[in-house]
Amino acid sequence: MIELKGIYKWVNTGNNRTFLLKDIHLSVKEGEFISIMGPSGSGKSTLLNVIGMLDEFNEGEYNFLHESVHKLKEKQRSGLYKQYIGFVFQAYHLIDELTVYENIETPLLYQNIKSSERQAMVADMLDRFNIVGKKNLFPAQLSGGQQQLVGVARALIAKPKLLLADEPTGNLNSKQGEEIMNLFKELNNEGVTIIQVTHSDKNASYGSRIINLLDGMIQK
Amino acid sequence: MLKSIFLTSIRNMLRNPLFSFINMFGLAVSMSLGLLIILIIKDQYTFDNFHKDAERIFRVNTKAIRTEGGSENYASSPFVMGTTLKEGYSFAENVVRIYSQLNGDAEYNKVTVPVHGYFADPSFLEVFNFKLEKGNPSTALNDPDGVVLTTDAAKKIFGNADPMGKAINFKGFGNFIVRGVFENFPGKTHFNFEVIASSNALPLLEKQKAISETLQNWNNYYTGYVYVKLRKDVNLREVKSALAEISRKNYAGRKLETRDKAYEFFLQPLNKISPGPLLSNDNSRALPEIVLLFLSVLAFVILLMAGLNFTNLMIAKSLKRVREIGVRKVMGANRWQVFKQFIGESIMFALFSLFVSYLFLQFLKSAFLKLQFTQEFSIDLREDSWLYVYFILFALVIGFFAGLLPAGYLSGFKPVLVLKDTLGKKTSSRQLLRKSLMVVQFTLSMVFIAVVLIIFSQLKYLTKADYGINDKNILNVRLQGNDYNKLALEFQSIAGVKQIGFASHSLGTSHDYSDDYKRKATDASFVMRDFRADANFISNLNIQFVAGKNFTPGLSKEHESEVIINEKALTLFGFKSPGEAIGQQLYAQDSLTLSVVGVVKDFHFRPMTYEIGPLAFRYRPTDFQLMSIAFQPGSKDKLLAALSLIWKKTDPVHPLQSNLMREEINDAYIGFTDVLNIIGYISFLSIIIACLGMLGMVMYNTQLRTKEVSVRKVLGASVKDVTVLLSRSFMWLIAFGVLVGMPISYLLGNLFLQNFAYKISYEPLLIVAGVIITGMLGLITVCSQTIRAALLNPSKSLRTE
Repeated sequence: MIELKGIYKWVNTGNNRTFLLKDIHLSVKEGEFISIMGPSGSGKSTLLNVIGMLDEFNEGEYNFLHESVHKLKEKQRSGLYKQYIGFVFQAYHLIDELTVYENIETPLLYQNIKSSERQAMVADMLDRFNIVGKKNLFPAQLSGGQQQLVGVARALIAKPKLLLADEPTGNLNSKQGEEIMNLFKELNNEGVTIIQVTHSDKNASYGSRIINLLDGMIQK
Repeated sequence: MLKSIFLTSIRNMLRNPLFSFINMFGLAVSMSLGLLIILIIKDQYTFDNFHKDAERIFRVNTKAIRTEGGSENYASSPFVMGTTLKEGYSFAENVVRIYSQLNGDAEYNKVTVPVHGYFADPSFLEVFNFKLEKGNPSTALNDPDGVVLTTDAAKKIFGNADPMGKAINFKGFGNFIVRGVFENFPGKTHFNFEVIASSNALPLLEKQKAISETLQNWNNYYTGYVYVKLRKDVNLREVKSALAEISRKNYAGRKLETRDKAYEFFLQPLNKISPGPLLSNDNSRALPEIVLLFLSVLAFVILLMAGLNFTNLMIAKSLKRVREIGVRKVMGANRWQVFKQFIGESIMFALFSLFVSYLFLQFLKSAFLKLQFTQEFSIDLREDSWLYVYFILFALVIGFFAGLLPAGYLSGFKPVLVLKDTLGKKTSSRQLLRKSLMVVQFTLSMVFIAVVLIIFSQLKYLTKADYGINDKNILNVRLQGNDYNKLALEFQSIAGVKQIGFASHSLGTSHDYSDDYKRKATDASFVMRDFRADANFISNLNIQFVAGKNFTPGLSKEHESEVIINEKALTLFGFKSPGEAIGQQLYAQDSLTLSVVGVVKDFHFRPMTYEIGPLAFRYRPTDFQLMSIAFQPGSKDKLLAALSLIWKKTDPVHPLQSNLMREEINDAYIGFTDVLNIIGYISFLSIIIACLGMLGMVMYNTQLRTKEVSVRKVLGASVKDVTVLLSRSFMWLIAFGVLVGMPISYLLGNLFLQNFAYKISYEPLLIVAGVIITGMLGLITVCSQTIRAALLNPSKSLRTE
């Protein structure tokens, strides 16, 4: 599903070139559940953003479902991730002005899906996550765990093949965190490919494979 | 998508109620001005839109070229021009000649009412689409004694009786038979008449000298209007050359008026008459185009300010929403979709503001109609469904343009940058644009305020100025054709009346006579202004004599013999001292000899826009049009009551027209009062907009810096230190804006003061006052926010961070 070959990403500060990612080779098959680990500043989030096509890289090849991402234009790239990738953030990043229902619905709006169809899809999702009773609440009225639940629901609404999660439990207490991780496990069993960034060994243990990063390089 | 935009915009508004209020108020107030202009313009473009083949109907206008250079355009043209076009040129399908002087009293059944109207060709009813309710349009004006009335005039003269076939006596013009009554006009028209009499009456009237020489007189281009309906497919160039030919043929070798060198004629399309360019003798009651332009420019400036403000505040507010944009983009929104969302919100906001501004408009409408100059024109600010369409379009346009910049800017964010919170650096670059917007707004506000102060002070100065005469406790009464001796006798006995004098015109207004004067019969004569007055008038006003005395009592009413001049006139006549002039002979009107009996001290006999010039008083009772009553202080109300009672008995036709003399003097400046009112309102708007804009910007910036403030306070900064820190950059903006405004307001102030020969000398002081007012308002705005931020308990904001 994902092929990264010799990915480099750097920033120039004065005469120095600081590498954020260095010679990354990584291949991910469909159905895998991968955890990226490493100390702060090791490039975990950058790697995740590159995979999610939010960030660009300076050198190397990236193939996603047999498409050469590095050759695509911005528009095609965003079309690609719109269709196949869902994101979950540490800080949930729900839209404050929208209700739970509307937050989950938003990605569908941008894919021009018909209203009736949208309703059905959002209702399914609410049902599945047991948050039907909260659909008219605003994010500020929910606990952190519930907000993240909505965040995950929103990421899944467009039926992505790949779920990218940047420390999804970072802002949650251990019980809430466990719930989210169990959910991820369940999703993975249903066939969703998941890549998560995490600090915790416990969370990493839910995954099928762990990638350790240090100073932008994968540690063998 | 639309629903989502709608919901988010409402929720966003409610989330920042104060911010939204500021934004909406500023936009709505200035939008209301735009709405008013739309309303006025729409109304003013409804004149004469009901005539058939209007595109083929033209008015022939006259361009008089002056001997001393320059020229003046007249809406009128020689009556004979119409005759010539009709008889000699085939391109004219029809011609309408109008003689506009059918003004005066109409009598029927011993009841007299004043009316105004035209003598017009029978073709008037054919060319223009005025339908008749009664009578036959193809014959009504054929007979020389035919007349057609508007329904209002018919009601006025005949009450509910049927006017058809009845005879009306027009004073000075004889009897006319009513041959028709107009339907109510289908719309507004530039024509201004109550009655139309047949032009076939004119030849006889001219012969009887009831009207001045008109029918074949190429030099009278004042009293006639000529309309021509062209045949289809006539080339306008053909008409143009025909007009030039007519001018050439008929004026060659003719003795013209002394001030004119030549005349040219040009066509004005019927639908470009109202509103149209300023023309002399125009009988149109539409606002001139130039006034519409002036109002539009003012509205545009204010809208621009408000729009910029809106944009500015939108950017400020939206920066808080960059995270949302990032999220939306990660969720799959493309740039266009985000752009649509923000533009949508902006338009939505403008629509809400439209609603509020509509409320303001109701107030503004009545204020506008109260302005003096609007009384002269036909303005109906009626609302219809099309108007609402224009209003909504207007709001859409405003919303779109105001939202363009923020939407374009915000939709361009890369999501990864937003989510990584590295936005701080990028946003600050936009500050420069926003800061310059602030500076411009404060410059404009300062200029407006200073100009208002200047106009206000000058008007105050004018209305309080000493004209060098006694203008208090004097009542001016128009004679309106009544016998002055009879009136004087009646009024003399009213309690409170001290003395009654008579004159041709009231002093201090722009109205007066002028005549040719010279010292010796062989001298070249010069033109000098004069008033025809009696001794009482002069002594009522307490005009000071430097030599000689007032008119001798018992002067002949038929043969003039005495004249009184002012000091300025002395040098013109070549007198070296006032005493020398007394008893000397002067010539007026070439042959009339008058002896100087008095020389008066110079005083202002015209509005202060003019320098004091030479002046003469002459005793000519035939020219008296005005009664000047000096009364006991405090007896004005009783006097007026008694006066109107007696007036009604002596003259039941015309209502009493009386004014205090000083009020009439001050009325000369009424046009400037309008300017003051309009600019005053604009400056009020502009300072509000500027302050609201500033408020929004300060609020936003202090919110961004709460954490910094808290840290500084923890480190030991005092409230004052923090306030200064937060306010400093804004104070610079205000100071800069205000300073830029100083020279501009000086220029504009001078431009205004140029109109006056006598004016205030402390203009720079007023500009400084404008600076202080604007600066203080800005300062208060800024400090209201920064002090509050500085007073915040640091532990609170640090905790919630």
